[in-house]
Amino acid sequence: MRVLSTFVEAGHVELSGADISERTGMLSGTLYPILIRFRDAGWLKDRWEDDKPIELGRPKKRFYRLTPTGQRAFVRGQEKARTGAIVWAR
Amino acid sequence: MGTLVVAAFAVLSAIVIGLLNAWARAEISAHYEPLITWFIRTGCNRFAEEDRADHMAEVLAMNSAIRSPTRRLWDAASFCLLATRAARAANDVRRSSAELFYYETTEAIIACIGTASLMLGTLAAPYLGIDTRIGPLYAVTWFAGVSLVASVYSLYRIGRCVRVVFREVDFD
Repeated sequence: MRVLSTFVEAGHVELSGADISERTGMLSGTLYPILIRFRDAGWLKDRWEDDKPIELGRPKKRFYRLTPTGQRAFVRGQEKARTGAIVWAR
Repeated sequence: MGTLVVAAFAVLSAIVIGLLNAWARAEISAHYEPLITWFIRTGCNRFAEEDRADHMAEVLAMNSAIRSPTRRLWDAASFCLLATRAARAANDVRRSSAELFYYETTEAIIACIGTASLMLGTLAAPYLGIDTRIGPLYAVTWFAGVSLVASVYSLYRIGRCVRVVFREVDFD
């Protein structure tokens, strides 16, 4: 949810792994499997940076974008969390 | 005069320690880079060979965006340790619920046995003739502390077992 909410909070823009890591505070060991799973589930769409690493002077970044399926999953997750919280409060 | 000398000495030592600190940090940071690459490469070796270069490039890009060298090292080490999980995700190999349940139950039982033995040991020590004269308070504090940590860990493991069971239940 934290990863998906990062995309929503950022305004549905493309974010690199580094951006997500910085915003969520997650280390790459934790974040990377999540990104792979979300990508495979079709929640995120990815593309590699066009420029060459020599021109950039750093490794190429992979950018991720939230898909409509991911957006729906986020909304569903939020609803579930809200319902769970209400049940817990009772 | 004496106060002045002490103050001057304090200022001088603060400067020297500051310089030494900066030098040590620079020296250590310089040695981080190959270590970071090694951690990431070792972690990436767990991925399928054809995707390895892509994974390596991405993780390196993620890592190089971190400003603090120490945090970069920590990030790389965490990736190396958790790379199995990432590789599992990449290959879409998930443990079945039954396998996960047996694994979690075993861990929880071991943790519970450890906790129980520690607690019983603490309680039974005086009756077993263990000499606590050298520091009974120390011994009790130590065992009670360890027991507490073990209890929390056991509860955590039991919680994981419960979560695996609940994963199979659809509440909707």
